[in-house]
Amino acid sequence: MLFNSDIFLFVFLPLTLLTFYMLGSLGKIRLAIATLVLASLTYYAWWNPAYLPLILGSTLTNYIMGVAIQRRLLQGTRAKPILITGIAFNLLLLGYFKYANFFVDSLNAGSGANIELAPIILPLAISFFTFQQIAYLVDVYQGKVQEVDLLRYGLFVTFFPQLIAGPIVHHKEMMPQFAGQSIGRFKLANLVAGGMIFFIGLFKKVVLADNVAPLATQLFNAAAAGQTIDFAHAWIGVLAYTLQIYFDFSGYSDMAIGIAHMFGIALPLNFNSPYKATGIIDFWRRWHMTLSRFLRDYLYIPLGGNRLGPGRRYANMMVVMLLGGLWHGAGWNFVIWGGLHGLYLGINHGWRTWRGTPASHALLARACCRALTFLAVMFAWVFFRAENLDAALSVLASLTGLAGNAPASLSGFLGQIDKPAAVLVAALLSIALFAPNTQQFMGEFMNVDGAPKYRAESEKPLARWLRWRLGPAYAIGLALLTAITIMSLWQPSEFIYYQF
Amino acid sequence: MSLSTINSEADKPADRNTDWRRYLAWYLSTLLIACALVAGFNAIIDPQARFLLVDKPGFNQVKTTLETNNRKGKTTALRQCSYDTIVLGTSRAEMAIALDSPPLNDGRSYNAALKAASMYEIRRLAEYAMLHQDLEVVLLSLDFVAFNTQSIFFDDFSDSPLAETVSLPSVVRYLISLQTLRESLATLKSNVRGNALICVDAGVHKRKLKRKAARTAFDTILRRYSTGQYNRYVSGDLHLQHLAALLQKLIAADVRVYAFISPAHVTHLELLAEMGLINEYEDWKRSLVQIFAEANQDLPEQRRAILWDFSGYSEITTEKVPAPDDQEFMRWYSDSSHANPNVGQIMINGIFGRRADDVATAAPFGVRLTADNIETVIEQTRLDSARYRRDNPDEIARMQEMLRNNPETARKFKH
Repeated sequence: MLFNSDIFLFVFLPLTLLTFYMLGSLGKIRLAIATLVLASLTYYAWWNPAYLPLILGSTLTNYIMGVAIQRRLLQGTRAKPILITGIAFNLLLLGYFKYANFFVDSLNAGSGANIELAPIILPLAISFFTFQQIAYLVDVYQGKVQEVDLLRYGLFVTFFPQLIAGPIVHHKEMMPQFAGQSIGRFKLANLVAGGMIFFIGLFKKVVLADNVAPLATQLFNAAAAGQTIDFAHAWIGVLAYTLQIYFDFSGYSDMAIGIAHMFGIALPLNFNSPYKATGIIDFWRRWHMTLSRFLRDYLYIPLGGNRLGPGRRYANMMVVMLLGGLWHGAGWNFVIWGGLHGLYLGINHGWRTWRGTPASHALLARACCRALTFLAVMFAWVFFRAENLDAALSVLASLTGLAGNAPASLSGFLGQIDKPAAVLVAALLSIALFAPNTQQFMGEFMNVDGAPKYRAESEKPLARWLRWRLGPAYAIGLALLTAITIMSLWQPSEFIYYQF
Repeated sequence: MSLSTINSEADKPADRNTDWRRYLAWYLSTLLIACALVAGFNAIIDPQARFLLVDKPGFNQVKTTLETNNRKGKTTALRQCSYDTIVLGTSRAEMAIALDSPPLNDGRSYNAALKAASMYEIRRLAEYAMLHQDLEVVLLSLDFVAFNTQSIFFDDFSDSPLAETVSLPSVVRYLISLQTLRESLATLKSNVRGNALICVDAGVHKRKLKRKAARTAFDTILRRYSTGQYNRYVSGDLHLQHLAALLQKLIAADVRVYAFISPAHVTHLELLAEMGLINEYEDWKRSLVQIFAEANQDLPEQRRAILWDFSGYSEITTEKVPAPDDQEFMRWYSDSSHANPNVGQIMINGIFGRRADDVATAAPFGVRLTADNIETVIEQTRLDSARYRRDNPDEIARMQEMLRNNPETARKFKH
């Protein structure tokens, strides 16, 4: 069941909201929470009921491990073995379902062996709920959280708005909300504001991402088939994918935040206009922010972070980004994508060490930094999207003119351009680079704690002028946006991050 | 966190329910009005011809954005244009019967055959045609797969006027849709300009063949049948009853019926044999003969429905399939299932007793099936099959390997 499917929009979501708030208004809070857990499990099982025992087993095992760690800590006995067992359990689960085929294929290719392993279907959301629960176990071990309520823990893991593709939430930011006084209490403002955020996300997905997607698909299919690619075609296709993945994933995140808001639950931000970043460090503070947070807190810092000297710092960064790449998918193209970002981060940190961090940039310098960052990110997306390494190299060669496809003159280049495609890409690029993002538009109705530059950017004239207000003009504008979205809805396409 | 609606218990201005209610009222009423306007406009123009509330020349009568070779397109043509002869059947007839030679090239003939049609759909379409046309002749292609009781109708059937029930979600999707709005505007524009002509289309599916190995096209279709229609084939009376009912109606309306079993390449007969379906196939032929005999009972010769069989082993249906690296087109076939219009013309000539020097083969092609010769024809087909298998061992081995290598068909593969 996808957020953009009619069964979700017109049956599942309204029914779940209705039941949740009816039980809440009767004071049956635990039943209301149980309804949310049940709805979340239904949502998960809709894709493939066979994997329901997997998520239930994983949730229950981690809960038991968490309780055992808490007990040991209270008794003053060693809890580390349980923590290690718990982390190993989660990694084994993820390793088997996500990486076993990749590992065997790589081994066969590298050693000439002929080990056979039947294809294992990747269970939906396993990367997300595994990471979330590893973080939980570590937090419990460090004494940051305590949880003994299985129902609330079950909701923390399975809460359907963020179950499939994040945001990856911290136990400490969710449990107080599940245990709070306001849970289950209906507030029209929550429903309406959540609905607005949801429809902005849905608009990004079905109107922006899905319309630009065919341009990217066309390019990468041509590359996979070994076809010759025009210079202009390559640029438009790669830009199209750069925009597609942003609007697709940030649209999904907005929808998740919006749905949770309708239930009175605040989820952390996951995107903060990443293509406005002025450096790769800045980019990773704006792109998939909850993953960056996880990798920093549970991988980079435990590896030693920047505490063990510059050499270890760069090595740690590279390890984190390589594993981050591998987390996205079991394939060498994802590893290369992660490695490239590790390299970019190394260069960015090295530059800062050499030149210092400027307090502020001049307008031109800022524009150059933005452009350079955008291009670096765009080039890396080629590896992320391409079918295989050959296809990625072919696209990069076409993009740089190394494939012998560079047009001889400007008129030759202009002649190659597909005008409607170029207009579409230019329009979407302008939105990504210059328009206020969802949280700048919705302001106080979104959790902006994780967005350090939010305040400054939201005070810019355009953002202030456009900021949502409780008035008829905004109601009419958003209603028209909703109408366009609904009218474009009828052929739901999957979200890119569902595959991870 | 700074979430006023979620966390704040204070009664901020933004939390006042009346303001939110007013906002919601503005929002919902705008949304409803926008959706209603688009839905209303789409319902009136109706570019896919689903409701026909308004059917006005120069406004929306001709549905220019409608694809002509699907259920909606063909029903539109049958409603709006004038024919005395129609072709019914599956894609085999849609591709083979080209209507560009006598006696069908008089502009009064229409190929209403539908891709992947079941006999139920064919009956519905024939009844629809009888409502809107004064038919004299029906050429009815009968294919074994159209009698699969597991297949009732194809994708676009339920959205076409042939459907007996209307699905509310599909109506909503159709009316509240930007895609339909675009089609409505295009329909309106071309009708107002007067440049929309649907009746020039004869309904024939003219396939442009690509210069790839004919063997590839052959194998692709065979594989598709082996994992699809044949793999799921369940025989039964359902579609036979539809055929019997249709024949009765056509004969009662004084429509002359020329039915024929289409000539797929004989590899299809061999595939049926390999998949253990050949007995069902032979019984199906016997049932057809019986249904025609019952329908023709007590009728004078000139009103009788005629049944031809072009599916047997002949010079045409046993055409040699080129080697995988051969780029030449086949003379008679587009792929293993679909004969080309050259074959269609020979069939038409045979049915109507015409001489045709241009594309005729010297060898006999097709036989008129009756209760008197059905067993002889079946026996002859068996003998021909044995000869074909003996003369073409590579073809049979290739087919067996295809079945064995596919997990979906391996269980049905009898060797």
